Amino acid sequence: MSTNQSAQDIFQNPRFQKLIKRRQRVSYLLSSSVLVIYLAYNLLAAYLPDTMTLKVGESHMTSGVLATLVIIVLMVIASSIYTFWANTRFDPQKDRILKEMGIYAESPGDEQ
Amino acid sequence: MRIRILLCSVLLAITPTLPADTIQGAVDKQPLNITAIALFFTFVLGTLGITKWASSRSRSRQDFYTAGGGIPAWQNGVAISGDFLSAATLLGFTGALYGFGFDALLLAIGVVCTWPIILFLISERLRNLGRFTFVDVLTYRLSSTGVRVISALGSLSVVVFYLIAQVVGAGKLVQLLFGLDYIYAVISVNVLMIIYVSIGGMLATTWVQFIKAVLLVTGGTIMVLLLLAAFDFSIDRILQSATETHHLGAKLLSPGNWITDPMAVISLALTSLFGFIGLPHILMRMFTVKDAGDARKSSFYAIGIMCYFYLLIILFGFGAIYLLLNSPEYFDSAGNLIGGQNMVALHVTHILGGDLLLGFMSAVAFATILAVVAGLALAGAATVSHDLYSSVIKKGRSNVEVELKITKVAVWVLGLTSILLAIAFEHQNVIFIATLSLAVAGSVNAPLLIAVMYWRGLTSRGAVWGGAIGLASSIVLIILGPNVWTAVLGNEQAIFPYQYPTVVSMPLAFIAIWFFSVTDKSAQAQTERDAYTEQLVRSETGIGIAEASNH
Repeated sequence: MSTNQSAQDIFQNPRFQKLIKRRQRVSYLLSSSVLVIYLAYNLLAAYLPDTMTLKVGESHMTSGVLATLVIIVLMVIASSIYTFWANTRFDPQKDRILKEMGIYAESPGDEQ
Repeated sequence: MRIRILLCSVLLAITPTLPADTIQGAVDKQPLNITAIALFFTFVLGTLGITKWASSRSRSRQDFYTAGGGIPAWQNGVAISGDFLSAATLLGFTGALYGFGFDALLLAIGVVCTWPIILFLISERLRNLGRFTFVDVLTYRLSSTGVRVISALGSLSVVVFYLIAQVVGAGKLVQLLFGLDYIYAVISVNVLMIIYVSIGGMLATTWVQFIKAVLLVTGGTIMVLLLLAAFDFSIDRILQSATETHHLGAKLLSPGNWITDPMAVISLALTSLFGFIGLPHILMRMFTVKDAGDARKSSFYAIGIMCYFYLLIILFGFGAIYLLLNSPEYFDSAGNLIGGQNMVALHVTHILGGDLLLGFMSAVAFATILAVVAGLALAGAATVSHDLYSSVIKKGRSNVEVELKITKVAVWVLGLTSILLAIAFEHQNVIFIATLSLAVAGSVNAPLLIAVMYWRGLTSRGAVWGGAIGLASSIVLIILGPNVWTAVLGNEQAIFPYQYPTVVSMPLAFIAIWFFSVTDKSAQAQTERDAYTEQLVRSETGIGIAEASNH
């Protein structure tokens, strides 16, 4: 099944193509959002440090500290979205397509 | 003897990022800390018991390198987070926050933002394409020996440099925490590392890291709850008290107190991003779970734990400022913090939880080093035996039993070498070694890994040249940079201005990978490009990957 020929077959199957396109859209979109946040944070801290010291309301919280805390929470949320999506959507769909093509994805066997 | 102090926690770090020139304080051997030593021995005995149990379950090569792929995702996730939540996260980070305020947060964001990228782009493909080491992933479609050699070199350099930095740091930390001599600390760390790895393999190594991570997160949570209680659970009051007591005042919360050059901030950000992607001992953990789905879940659990812990220690670090500056008994007559900035977290632990909690956290800090060096030694030994001996020297025709023997010999050699080098480097400024490790990970391993997974055009020639140029430029620029040219060789002005060469060496590696691939017109190159289709199918579906064993 890992021969070149069957890999070609799977690759050329339009449903498989559609599946991996969709997956790439999700992972590229999420990755680029994370990268944009990461770069923006670092560029602002490096070149426009004043943007990091704005007062938030009446409190002693500043924009920089708040941004740090918010980014940490955002990263957990982004990772949860991806993991949840891949677990509940992508994996079952992938298994179904492979099954329809007569190929079974690996299962945790007891080969020793 | 004055030893720069923040330095040593940095060397223990997954984020060895603190500039040497801003470091103050000296390591003074502390009185024997009996609680800490007793708790640490309990940890050692427990983990040795686990090692004995693990050895009875490690028979095959799969068992030894990757625990047979039978580690549950959540447990692997905790172990991965343990690799990142090192003594430096606890000690170095709080020390940096205490000293410089906001700039320390850049370190936290580096870790916190890199891991989601690893989750989205790397972990699943890695699991589907490799068996034991990340070199396997590179050689899935790039068949040349050169690729194996250059990536094994990249992997080994990271492991060895990292190991030395950790062990030197461990020796110094133990003087502070336990009041034991440097040499005993160095020897005991290495001997335990050899026992864990050579007897228990990946199963024992994962358990050691797992237990330590659980202890660290539990201890951290208790500390932060005690700290928050002291501030009536108000973040606003923590920040207010910090800016009112710290000598930087309101500037504490603004960037630039520590990393003053904007380009240095960018260089640090790139080094974190690419360096963390290219750490072989972390990548290897992805092979310990049964499939790509579990690799994804491992990364997810790891991210959750790391983010939680960083939120904790950010609060802890700001709260520490007020508590410590109002406790004169932790300062010497000259007004310096006893033990230096490294001790901030532990002094505050003592204020909040007394001798018992201090002993507990000190023991956890030392256990952290053990857990990290064990993972490093295993990754290094697997590279020597599996990637170099079995695949390069024996061309894949080696006997599995001989390969396993070589692995164990390699663990011993790594351990003994690291004892000798740690003794040789005791009085040296070794920050460049830690820097080099992360720079090579970011300029050799990460570019190769990203290219092989995402670019059809990559050929063996491109990988060999790209890897070699990334490696050479990292080493040369570190020698010309502030960590060696000025700090070690004593010159006035560094020729290359930044701590980290990654800002130059990483793009150079990518350019070389691209250039030497597109100009490669050989027949082999065409076969390798065509093989991308098969690799892509496998990386998405996992068809044909090594199957897991049940533990």
